[in-house]
Order: sequence, then structure tokens, then C-alpha cells
Amino acid sequence: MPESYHTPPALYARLFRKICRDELFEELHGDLMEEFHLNSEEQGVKKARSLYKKEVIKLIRPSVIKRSQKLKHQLNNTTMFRNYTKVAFRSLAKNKLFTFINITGLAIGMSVGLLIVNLVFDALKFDQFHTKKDRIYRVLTTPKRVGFRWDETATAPNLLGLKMKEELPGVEEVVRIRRRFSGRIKKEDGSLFTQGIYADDNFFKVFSFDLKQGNPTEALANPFSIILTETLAETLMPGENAMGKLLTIPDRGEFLVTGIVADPPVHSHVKFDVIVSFNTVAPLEQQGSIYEASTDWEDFSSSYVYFLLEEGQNLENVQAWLDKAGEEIYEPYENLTTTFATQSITSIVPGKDLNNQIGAELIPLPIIILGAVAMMIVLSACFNYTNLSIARAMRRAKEIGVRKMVGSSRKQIFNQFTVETVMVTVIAVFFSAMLFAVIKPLFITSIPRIDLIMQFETPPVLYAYFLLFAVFIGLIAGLFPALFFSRIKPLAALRSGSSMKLFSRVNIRKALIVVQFSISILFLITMNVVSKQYRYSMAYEMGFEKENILNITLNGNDAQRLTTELEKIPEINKISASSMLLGTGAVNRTILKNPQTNDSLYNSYISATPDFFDIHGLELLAGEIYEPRQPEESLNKMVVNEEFLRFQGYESPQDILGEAFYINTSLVTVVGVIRDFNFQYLEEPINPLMLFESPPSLNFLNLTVQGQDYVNTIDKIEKAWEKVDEDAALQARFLDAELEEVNGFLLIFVRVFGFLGIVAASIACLGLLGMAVFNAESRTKEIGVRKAVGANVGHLIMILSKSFMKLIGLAGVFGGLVAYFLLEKVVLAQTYYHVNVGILEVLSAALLLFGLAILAVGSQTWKAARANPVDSLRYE
Amino acid sequence: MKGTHLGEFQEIILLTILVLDDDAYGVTIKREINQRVKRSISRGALHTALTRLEEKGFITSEQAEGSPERGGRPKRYYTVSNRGIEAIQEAKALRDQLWSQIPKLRLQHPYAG
Repeated sequence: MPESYHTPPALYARLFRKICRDELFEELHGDLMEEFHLNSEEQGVKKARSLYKKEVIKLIRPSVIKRSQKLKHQLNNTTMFRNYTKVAFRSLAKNKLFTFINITGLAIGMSVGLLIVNLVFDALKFDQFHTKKDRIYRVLTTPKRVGFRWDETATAPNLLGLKMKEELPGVEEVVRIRRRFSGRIKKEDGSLFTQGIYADDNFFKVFSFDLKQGNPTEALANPFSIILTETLAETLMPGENAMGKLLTIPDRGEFLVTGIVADPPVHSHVKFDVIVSFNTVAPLEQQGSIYEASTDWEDFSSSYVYFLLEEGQNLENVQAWLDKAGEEIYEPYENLTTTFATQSITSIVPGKDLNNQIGAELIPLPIIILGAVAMMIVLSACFNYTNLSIARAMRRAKEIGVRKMVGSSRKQIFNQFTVETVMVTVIAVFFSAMLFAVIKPLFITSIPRIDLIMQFETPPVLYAYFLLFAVFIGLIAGLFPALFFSRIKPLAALRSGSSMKLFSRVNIRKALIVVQFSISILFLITMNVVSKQYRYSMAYEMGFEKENILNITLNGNDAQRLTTELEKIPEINKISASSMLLGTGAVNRTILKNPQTNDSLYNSYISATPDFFDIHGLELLAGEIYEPRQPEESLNKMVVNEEFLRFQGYESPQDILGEAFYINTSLVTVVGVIRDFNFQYLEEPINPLMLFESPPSLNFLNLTVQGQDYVNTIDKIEKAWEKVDEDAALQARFLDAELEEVNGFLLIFVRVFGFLGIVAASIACLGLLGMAVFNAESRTKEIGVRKAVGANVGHLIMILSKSFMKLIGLAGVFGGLVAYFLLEKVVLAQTYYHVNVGILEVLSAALLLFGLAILAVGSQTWKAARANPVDSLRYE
Repeated sequence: MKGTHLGEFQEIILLTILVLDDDAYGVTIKREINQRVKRSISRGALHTALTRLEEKGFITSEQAEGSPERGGRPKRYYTVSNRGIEAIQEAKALRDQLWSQIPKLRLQHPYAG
């Protein structure tokens, strides 16, 4: 073997030479070489070379490799960071006003940010408790009928679930759920109203609801099996075990308790008091106690189909099967095609807007809007920081000059200012956490019923996120000042601070102020306009009587029985029963078929007894109102509104009288036409409407009350109610109060945007105050000179505040325009009957902001303008 | 100065240096450990451990002339200092003490319990 061959791999030797510290190289390389020779004698050259390579790689460690110039700096960093924090603290302590403005602004802004972080955190927890959540899906349906609006629904035909069970491969389980089980469970003293769902026996194989007692596979197998939640079991039979007991539910039957389940978690999109076996549906339908839907491919609203995908299976196969099934099934149907889609259980809440949701709904849009708004506010606080830091640059310029002269690199200056900003934001986040603790309960109480879908827990891990959030905000806020400062030329800074061109960034500062005020004005205008919409909606002439109508929720009690009791009270004038409350938005729809054109479509209806018309002051245009329906009589008469006849193509009210339509299977004759009125919420235009009497769907009693002594009357009504229902409390509300609540979401809007507006405006004004202080300070001498040559105070105030006022005026125009388009085209367009953005709303918001700005700027300029010129000229 | 705790690997190195007596330098220490302890260590790991030991004052080192197979590069010989000897003796004493206190039964039936 030639001697020259005994060399280690050249590349690695060179690498080692390059990275190894000089003082270690000789001996280490000596060792490596010696070992290489030994190895090549013992194990061959090839092996020795590969061992050498390994050794070199393993020698790359901190104690061996060279410390580069750069690395030396980094090792020095801890010391420097200590220095940065010290200097930062001193600088913060020295400029108390700036520190105060920055920390307050950031704290306020970030507390809103924290609230949103919490909200989003909470919303993302929905349905995460299901252990198989990655494989659970729901089938969505889009029935497309000719001449009818297509909405995607969360429900699917019950028959589809059956078909999937039988034919669809790659799916482990298919669970059908039917909604709206309701009834009154008899107990020793009286009865208890409960609501729940029907579910297939494999329910617990798919969902992770905690079955405390009972067999998860058997509990829902037999007809008339019922599972109670723990809470319900406890109220029904306190201290007893409900398992195996028979429960009587009138109009439904006898149910055997086969399980006790923990109450569904708040973060579950399905909520129930009871789960009834799906096999109960067929007997109940035969009994006629629930409407028949389970054998109808055209039933798109009663049931849900969930399925558990087999592990490793592809959802695309299921979708392909559903596409094909949809085509085949609805082939024979005229004017109807249907498509199916799937939705993962974790994307139900928050998720897209669907019809017939089973429980909690949360569309992502409000969350996104809130998130964007919060981000705007936090950014606004960041702008303050950026602005004020740069404005202060002159004072810091000398320090930076000196630092650079003694050898600071640009990167170090950058680091210094970043550290300073992060410090400020971290201090601010502590304050904002306190503020957050204050506004969180306010926020929760200002949104009714939010506690049903949100727990609003703040787990400790969230505080860690808050801190991260603060650091992140610090990096954003500090980026620009840090870049700016690190670029300062030391020579210029040291020669003469004042002659520096530090104000080259003036335009950016101005732009930031404009953006801040635009955001504030946008919120304030939104608040104004929405409250105008609220007043408009409340005062809108709906076309029916709202005053003095008391509505009682029947909660499953017999309408006739309660009416009989109530008729004994002299203060009650008239009583009717209805399926819905007018103007509250919840409207029922049913299939309507025109026998002449053979066109079927969904049409809104209200089921009501004849007195309903009189009580609500609905005006009859033609014909008459149907008579009270007798028990043996089938559904055969209805009253329609004007829109209905326009929609069906009739000219005058007289023409439609006597015409008959199919409602489901019954042939119903139009006996009267009433004037159009807004039976739905104002979001919707007036739609075609039918009114008829259908006893099973009567959910409310509507009473007109005479006299002024409401308290006494309500007392009497309560007594009457107690005779009919012993345990549930009376639920009675006046219609106008009900309508007020329906419009209440607008008030929430007003509150939220009012709050945000105030937050944004105060942050913007704080920033402006800082700028004004700075401006007055840096122009002290100029003011002194002006005053000495004869300028008066008013003149000086003009000069000092002119530029700010221009900016705010610009912001007013800009924010006003954005608000106008956003509100007119997006927000208000959601509602059919809506107000327009008026000049008043814009002007009042602008004036408010302008006033605040004048306060902020004025106070400072006033001080500067009033100062004795002798002092001003001596300044510095 | 770092702490004076003696790690297991460091203990082995100290003992190996003592075993090698006059001939303890990088290559020999490494080979000795590879053979006796049946443990493949890298020169890098050895270097780090030696540096630590020297920082702690357990060993001292001295440069000497190199041999031809090293291309004439110098070697660094290591010797265990008095402190180093103290440290391993202490470690041994601690172990012996612990051994002596194990109940006999346990030792006879190590897997009984």
C-alpha cells in the first residue's frame, strides 16, 4: 500500500482545519491522524476513512470550534441585554408622560385583544370532547325545488340514513338522530316538560357522551327506551335511581329508563334532556302523535344523519356514493333534485350557516369581524407607540450616536429598541389582564344567552398565550422605531441633534394618525347607524297590534284546557291560540301544492284560532275568517295574505276566494284575504302567508288584557296556569316586550361598537395628546420668538393645532366614506327594511371625535401658547 | 470554576488515565476505554470531558513531542492531580458505604422483591 494513500479524507481534514480552534488544532489533529493510521492498519483504509469522517463530525461542538467575531458578540448578549433593560427602564422613568400614554394605550387595546383571544379559544373547543371527532361526519342536504329558494340544511332524509347503513362501504357506523322529542313526563306530583332527541342504538359508539348507567350498545335498542340526563333524573326522582323505571308521557306512551347519561357538555352542538330510541319513531308516527316523516324521501327537516368513517377510509368515496345516491333517489321526483354533502363534526360550530341546526349555531363571520376589529384596535395602540418613539428620536439620537461611536452595530441598536418595546408591552399586558378581568363579565352579561354556548373559561395556559401575544405585539410595535433608530448616522447625531433630518418620517406619522382616527370614526358611525336602525325597527308599523297582547308559552299543555280556565278571568277580553308570535322571526313552512299548475313549494304558514285576527287587528280585505275548527273536521279552510295571491298570480282578492290548494294531503279552500303585514322579523320582506287552524301546532295563547291592574291580572293568570300545569312556571310576556327582545341584538351591536369606538377613540386621543406635547415642546423656541414679535395666544393656538386638525378632518372624510360603504352595502343590506346612513350619524360621530381631539391638542397648545416668551427663549 | 461533582463518564476517564499511567494521551485514553469498557466514544466527547476535568482541577496536562505517524504534531499527556485522586476515592467510598448497607437478603435474591 503506497504511503500517500494513507491520508484521511481531504475534505474533512480541511473542514476540521477550518472550524477547529487554533490552540487545539495541533494536538487534536495529531490524535486524529494517529488514530487514523492505527485504524487503517487494523481495519483497513476504507473503514479508517469513514471513522475519521465520523470523528470530525462529532468534533463539531462548542468546546472545539472557533468562536467567530459574530459569535463573540452573541456571547456578550446577556450583558448587553442587561444594559438594554436598564437603559430602557431609565428612559421610561424619565419620560413619564410617554410611558403613561404608551402603557395605557397598549393596555386598553390589548385587553380587547385578550377578550377576543379568549372568545376564539372558547369557540374552537366545540365538539372537541368526542374521541373519534376526526372521523365523525354529518350529511348535509340541499333540496332544490323549482321556484323555491335553496338552502342547505343540516338535516337529511331519515331514509338516506337507512340506505347508508345498508349499502355504503367504508363507513363504520351510521347514526340517525331525529330532533324535537318533547313531552311531559308524569311524576308523583304533576308532570315535567322535557325535550330531547331520538337516536339509533349505536349512538354511543360514535359520540363520546358519558353514559353513567346502562349498556351503551343496548340502551337504545328497543322501542320506548329512554335515557335521561343526570340532572333530569335527579329532578324527576330525587335521591332515587331512575334506572329501570317506567315513565308515562301522555300522548306518547310508557317509556323504560335504560340509561343515565351525564349532561351534554356546554361545548356540544347537540343538547338534550332525554334520548329516546329511534325505534320509537315508527310506533309514534302510527299513533299519530308525531308527524309522519320517516318514510318520506321528501322529508328534509326532521332527522340528522351522522356517520363514523372507518379508519384509513377516504371521505371522497362517501361523497361519490352520496352524489350517485342523490341522483338516483330523486330521479322520479318532478321539480325536485337534491344534493348531499358532508360536514366534519368539528366544523359544525363554528361553521357555515345552515337551516335546521340541531343546537348551537355560530357562524365564523362575527368571530372574524370581531377579530379584525380587535386587531385594528391593538394596531392602533401600536401606532401610538411607533409614533411617539419616532417623535422622541431627537432625544435618543445622541445616545445612539455615542453607542455607535463606541462600536455598537446596527443590529445591536435594533435589538436594544426591540427589547425596550417588548418590555413596555409586557408591562402593559399585566395591566390589560386586569382590565380584561373587569370587561369579561361585562361582555358576558351584555350578550344574552351567550352562556348557553360559551363557557368563557380562562384556563391558565391562556395566560401564557397572553404573554406570547404581548411579546408579539411588542415586536410589531417596535419594528419600525427599531429600524429607524438603528439607521441613525452617528456623526450627524453627535454634531448637532437639531439639525438632523429626523422628521423625514413625518408623513408616516401623519398617516398613522389618520388611520387611527378613521378607525375610531368608523366605530362611532356604526354605533350611531345601528342604534338608528334599532329605533326604526321598534317604531316600524308592522301592520298588526302590538300593545296589550299577552302571550303564554304552552310548553306542551293543552290549549283548550288552559283557555277554559282563563276564560273565567274577567280582565281577559279575548283569547286565541297560535303557532308563532308575530314579528319574532320564527316562521313555519309547509308544502303547498297548486292543483292547477301542479307546482309544489314551501310556503309560510301560521296556525291560529279565529280570534287571532281580531286580537292582532289584522284587516280583512275580502271573504271571511274561518270558523273554529271542530275536532272531527279536517283541515279545509284558510286565509291568505295579499302577497300570496300576487305570488299565485291572482289579480284581486275576490278572485282567489273559493280556490283550493293542497297543504300536505288536505285540500284547503281560501275563504278570506287579509292585508299584508310583517309577520316575520324585519330582515325579511313580506312573504306569501297562509293562516289556518291546525291544533297540534298551537304553541302559544294570545290574550288581550283589559284594565290597568296588570299585576293582579297576571296573578290570576298564574293561578289558572297552576291548575293546568303544577310544576312548570308560567311563561307569559307582552308582545311588545317580545319584539323588543327580538330587536335586542341590534342593541348588543350598539353596545359592542360603542365600547370599541370609545376604546379606539381614547387610544387615538392618547396618541394625539402625546404628539401635541411633543410638538409644543419641540417648537418652544419658535413660539417664544413669535410671541416676542407680537403674535397673540389665539394665533399661536391656530398655528400649533392646524396640522392636527387637518389630519383629523381627513380622517373624518376617510372613515366616514368607509363607514358609509361598509354599512350601506354590507351591514344594512342584511335587513330588508332598513335605514340609510344619514348625514346626522356621520356628523355627530365626527364632531364627538373632533371635540375629543381639540381637548387633547388644545390643552397642550394652550399651555405652550401662554408660556412666557422669556422662558421659552431660554429653553435648552 | 464549575462544580466538583464527578460524572460517571468522567470517573471512567480518571480511572483510565490512572491505569495508563505515563502513557495517557488522547488516542490511548480513547482506545483503552473502547476496549475495556466496551463503549465506543468519540474523540470529541473525550475532548469535552477532558476539558471539564481540567477545569475542575482533577487532571493536569502537558504537551510533548509528537511522533512521525502524527505528522510530528505534539501530543498532550494527562495526569491525575491529587484532587482528582481524592475525588475518585470519595466516589468509591460513597459507593462502598452504600453497598455495605444493602440488606443481605436483597443481594442474595436480587429479583425477589
